[in-house]
Amino acid sequence: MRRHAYLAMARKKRMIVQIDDYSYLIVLPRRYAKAGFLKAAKVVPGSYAEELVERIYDSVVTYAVDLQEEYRKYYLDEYRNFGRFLYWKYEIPRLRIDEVMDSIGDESFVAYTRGGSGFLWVPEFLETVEDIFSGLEEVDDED
Amino acid sequence: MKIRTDFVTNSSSTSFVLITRGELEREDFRRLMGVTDESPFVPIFDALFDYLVWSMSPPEDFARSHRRYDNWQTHMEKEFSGEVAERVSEAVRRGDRVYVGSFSNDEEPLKAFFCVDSFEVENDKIYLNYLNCAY
Repeated sequence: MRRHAYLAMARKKRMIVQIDDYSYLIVLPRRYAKAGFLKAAKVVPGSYAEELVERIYDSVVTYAVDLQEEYRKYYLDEYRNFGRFLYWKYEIPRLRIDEVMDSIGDESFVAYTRGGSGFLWVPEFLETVEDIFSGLEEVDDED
Repeated sequence: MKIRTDFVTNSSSTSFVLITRGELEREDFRRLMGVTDESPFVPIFDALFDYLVWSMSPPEDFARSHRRYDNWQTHMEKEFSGEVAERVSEAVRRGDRVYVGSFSNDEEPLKAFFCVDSFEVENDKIYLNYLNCAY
């Protein structure tokens, strides 16, 4: 593989970061709608593949804990900033927080999920989901 | 296309029945599962196709290798259901290709995932009963 391809892979921004054996931190530029995720997945409506992709989206977005929302609603007074909230409330390692803090803006969707319903610990699913979200981000940038 | 999905299980292995009219091609399987050729999920479903193909055999061979029952028809009834057994018998009479298989949760996370998933799908060419999970 050529050197520039290696560098591109190294620079690829992680959107789903594993915290421990079961927990994941998800950081997206915004909360992407299920319709866009399904469209990017290019699966047939009414099929098993669509049902599977819906489950994946729900595990990563719908049923994940929206951390920025939770922080703003309930913990603004208790924790000086969002990073401290992630560290003390959710025990997310500092290294992991440092990895993602630069990516977080006011519109970002930052979420926490345990297990991702069995999808995220499978490398093939994790990579595919990240590729789809990266593609959605590129579409955003073009707009 | 018809699909039925069941609860996610905690099983360590899965067994399945696959009936096809004519040769089973990878593209046919993608169409059955509902993934287009351009989908980023193609490698995942191609891997599932490989798991199935590598582990399946005609019902009589499968039953013989498991040696639990006197014949494959009894094996189908006991391991799947009367309805599935009847469907298999009918397919055999029609001259369709019938396969039975199983695989276990081993070192591959993707294979382990598909051991706990459970569904039944059917289109004009293929029927796949993937509802049977075991501990």
